[in-house]
Amino acid sequence: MKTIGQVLLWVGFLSGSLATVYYAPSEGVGFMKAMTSDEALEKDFELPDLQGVVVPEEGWHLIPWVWYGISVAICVVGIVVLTKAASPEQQVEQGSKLSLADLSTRLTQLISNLEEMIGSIDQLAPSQITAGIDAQLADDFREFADSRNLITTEYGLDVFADVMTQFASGERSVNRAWSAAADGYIDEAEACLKRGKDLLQEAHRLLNDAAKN
Amino acid sequence: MSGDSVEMRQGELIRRGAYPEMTWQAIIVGWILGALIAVSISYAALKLGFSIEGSELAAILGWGVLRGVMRRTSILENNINQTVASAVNGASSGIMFSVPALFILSKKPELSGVADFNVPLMLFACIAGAFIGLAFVIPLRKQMIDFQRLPYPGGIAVATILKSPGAGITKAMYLFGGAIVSGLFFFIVKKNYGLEDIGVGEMLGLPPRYSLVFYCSLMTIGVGFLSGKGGFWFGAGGFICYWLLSPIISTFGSPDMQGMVEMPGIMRKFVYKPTGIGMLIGAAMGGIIMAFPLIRSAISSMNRASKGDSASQDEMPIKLLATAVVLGAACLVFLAYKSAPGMSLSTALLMAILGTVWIWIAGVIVAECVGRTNWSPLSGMTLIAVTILIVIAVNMGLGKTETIVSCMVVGAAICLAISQASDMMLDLKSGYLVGAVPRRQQMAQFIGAWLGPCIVIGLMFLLENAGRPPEVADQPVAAVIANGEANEAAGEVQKFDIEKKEYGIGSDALPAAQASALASVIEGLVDGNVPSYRYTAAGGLGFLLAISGLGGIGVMVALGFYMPFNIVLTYTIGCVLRVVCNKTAGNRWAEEFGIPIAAGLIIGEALVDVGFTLPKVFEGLFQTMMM
Repeated sequence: MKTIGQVLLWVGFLSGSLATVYYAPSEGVGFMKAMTSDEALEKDFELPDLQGVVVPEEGWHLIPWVWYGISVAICVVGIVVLTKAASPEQQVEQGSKLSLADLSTRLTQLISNLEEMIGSIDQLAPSQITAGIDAQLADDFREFADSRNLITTEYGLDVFADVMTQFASGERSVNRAWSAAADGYIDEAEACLKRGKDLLQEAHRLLNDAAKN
Repeated sequence: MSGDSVEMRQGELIRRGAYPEMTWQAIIVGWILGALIAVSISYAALKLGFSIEGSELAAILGWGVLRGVMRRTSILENNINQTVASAVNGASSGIMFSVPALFILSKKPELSGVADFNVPLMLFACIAGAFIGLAFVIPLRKQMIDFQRLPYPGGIAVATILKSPGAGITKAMYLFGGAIVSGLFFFIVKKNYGLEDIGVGEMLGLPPRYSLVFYCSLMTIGVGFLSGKGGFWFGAGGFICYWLLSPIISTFGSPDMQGMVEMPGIMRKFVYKPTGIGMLIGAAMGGIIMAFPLIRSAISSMNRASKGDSASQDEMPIKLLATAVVLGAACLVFLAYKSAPGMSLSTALLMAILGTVWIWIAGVIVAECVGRTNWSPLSGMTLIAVTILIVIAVNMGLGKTETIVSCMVVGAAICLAISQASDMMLDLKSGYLVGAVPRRQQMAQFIGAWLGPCIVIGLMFLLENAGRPPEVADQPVAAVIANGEANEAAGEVQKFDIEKKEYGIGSDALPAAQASALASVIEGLVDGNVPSYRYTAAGGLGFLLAISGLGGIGVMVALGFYMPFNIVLTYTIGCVLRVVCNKTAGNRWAEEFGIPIAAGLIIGEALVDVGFTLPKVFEGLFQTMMM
């Protein structure tokens, strides 16, 4: 069903596109008519025989509306088939490799790594903090973000918005910690890591609450 | 030094105290750099016909000035500097692609009055437009950056520059290596050999309709790399045009169309580009409808700022932004009303309401296009704005000159709004990646946005008037033409011929390609020549793609129709490289090293290009002043 929907959508779209561009606008034909053979040759182009071609009047008749309408109808049928055929799981982005449980695990992992980093921050040099963020947190952030649409599919847009608001703010806070550490502002880096951890914990709580409900 | 106290830990410097972000140093340096960049890029836009994104240049110059000269030590402070500077520079494309059309049109005797517009009113329109654009787009930050996570390749490049002091020597080497390779390539291939494109199709003996020509630009490959897999739909739009529709038309179409497809440039100009514009509008409207629930959730989330939600406290209050939009719309009514004699309040009201609605729609379109591909259809969106306004004004019975002036005053406001909206989103993406507080960055954008119009409009008048003969230097264009005609009638030799474009904007010295194109379109519009049939048909198709549930492909495919195919092809190489990198070397390698290299490719070409432009700018400015 999904394949049929895709085929109908694209056949309709391409046919509609062809209908939209099939007839020449007057300006374009006028331009060619004004062109000399030498100018055409300079552009490595052979002028078509335009003797007898009437420059079309600009206007709505330049679109074959019946053809266009049929194409749009095919496209619409394709969209309806696609919408009906797509189960919630199929609506999830193709790139998604994680399950909902994996999403929760990624957050737990992020929180745990942040706690560890915060616990040892007094012993870390700034470059070790930036290296730690790159090595221990970047993959989990990316994998969670790549599979974020699972949340919409399973729990709806409101939960998605709430979780992603906390997650994105948490990620941004960790990015700030990286910048602060790179500049040597160790207190700011620590504060941002703590704030990032709190925000990710809140994202985790919201995700778990949604699962329970 | 910016920290309150300094100590050493394991051989590294530790700073205690507040981390500098929104400082006066950052703002003032941003204003100064922004002014310099705006003058250079505005002049380049008039002279060469293109504009350059100023954020990367501002980040690099800010890096040198703030860190190197002023010994400042904050990545986030430089981020505010580049935000302010690029906000100032936002006026260069916003104004130079629109307002100079008035000067160009004014050189026709029947339209000589259009250049004598109310300058303070135009300035006010540009500033008000910039503020409305920002107020409209800021609430979409959450949806586009936090939720949709649009790549914003330019934003990634800026963030890579900002982070380079702390990113380690290896990454910095990749960044600068990429920049050197790209800069050298640009210098040797483009500047030295003048090679813009590589016609692979011609080498392979393919007919011109396939337009297999690659744009010589490592920067474009870098942009494609940063866009990744998602960028393929952009390529798909171009391939549909030149590898599917053109060959079909060539086989089955009428003789005139069979001829036209063999001239891809003409085909693009008259057929694919207007189709792309219509499709973009349809796709954007469909996208807004589809994204509406998410936008509503994002705005609800911003509303929680007042209720103490920690994640939402970083946002600018939504009520403040809503107030700015309402005030801005009221300003547009005033501006439209005052822009031309004979303007009725109802016409002004209609123009302002539709203008405000268009700012929102076009702001979303441009922010999304820049977010997905780094290319902005600003000129197309301005064209639509002017079309809407001219249709209203003509139908409400305004005269030719009044129609053009009033539409350009409101149109310039819209153009500035769209330009600022896309720049804001790009900067917010860099801000996200370095951990900036969005509210502070948004304030920085407002702080910079007012200055650009003052500088650019001043420069425009300087360039327009500096070459005039002294005896008519202070006269309106209409009077200059009248004097010329009187002199001619009296048998006196005219000292210069205004219609031959011997001086000012539109002359051979300052051709202003984009504004000239707009001027010719305006003339056509005033005479009732608009391809609305093609916009409508293409708009329907774009709308359907947008609501198909396949993500943001509508805008991407539409942009593929709109852009020249040589750029699309080179961009697709970058997308392919990213996918190959991800598959063979892994996502981590692509992010750790591929992104700095790609960012370097963007930066190198931009810097060499600006480097070549600057001497021309100063030489041209000097010559113009001396005339």
